[in-house]
Amino acid sequence: MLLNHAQIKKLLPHRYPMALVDAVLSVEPGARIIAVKNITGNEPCFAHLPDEADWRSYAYPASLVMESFGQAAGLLYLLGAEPPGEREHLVMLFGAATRCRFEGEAFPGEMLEHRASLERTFTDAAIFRGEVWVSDRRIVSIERMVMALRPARALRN
Amino acid sequence: MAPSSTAAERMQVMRTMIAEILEIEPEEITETSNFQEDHGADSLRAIEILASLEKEFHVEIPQQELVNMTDLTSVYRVFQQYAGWSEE
Repeated sequence: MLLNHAQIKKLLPHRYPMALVDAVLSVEPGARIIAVKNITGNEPCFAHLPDEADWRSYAYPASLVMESFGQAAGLLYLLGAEPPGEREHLVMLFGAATRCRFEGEAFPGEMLEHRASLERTFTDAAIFRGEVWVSDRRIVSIERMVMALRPARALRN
Repeated sequence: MAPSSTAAERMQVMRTMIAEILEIEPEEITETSNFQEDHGADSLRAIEILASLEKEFHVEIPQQELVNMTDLTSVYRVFQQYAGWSEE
């Protein structure tokens, strides 16, 4: 493991219940990252399900899979940011995702493995591509994700 | 795209790709319709257009050229300059 959850929280502003990356397994700064999130039956998104809910109801929502991927991509960006001091001052905002294919689902007991690569950086934005895997199944492929990077002070006003 | 493509072919590829990003029909984009004013593009869409065309045409465009990429004709001119396409 390259980064544990405590180290991730030093880099990302996301907190419970939206801290959706558990660990970073590997990174090539400025190029690619592999990060994971475990899914449990205790996820807040399953809390409202009645006892009668069948197994399909426990598919982890696609929106949260994308958010989790986005946080992994954000970590990739932050780990390559120069100078490192810049990191704390930038807030990442999801801009757009293009040509995403949802090919499968993930359920409690399974682990999302995000494989993101950095395609292009701008001074105030970054573009990623990648895939989400659950063991040997690819469940999402993303051709392009655009993320805006804004100074935190610009968002407080 | 093949290096031997004509200006009209390149322009058509650009139009199709830009339309997809702006989520409109390619026919809506004329040579001089303004991405921002006529098609509701914002700065992130402009970045997306730049990055996807860079990839298609295998050329890198400096970020400061974004301000000059306001419509199809101006996008073509910027890429023509950096990719070294001849005037036709």
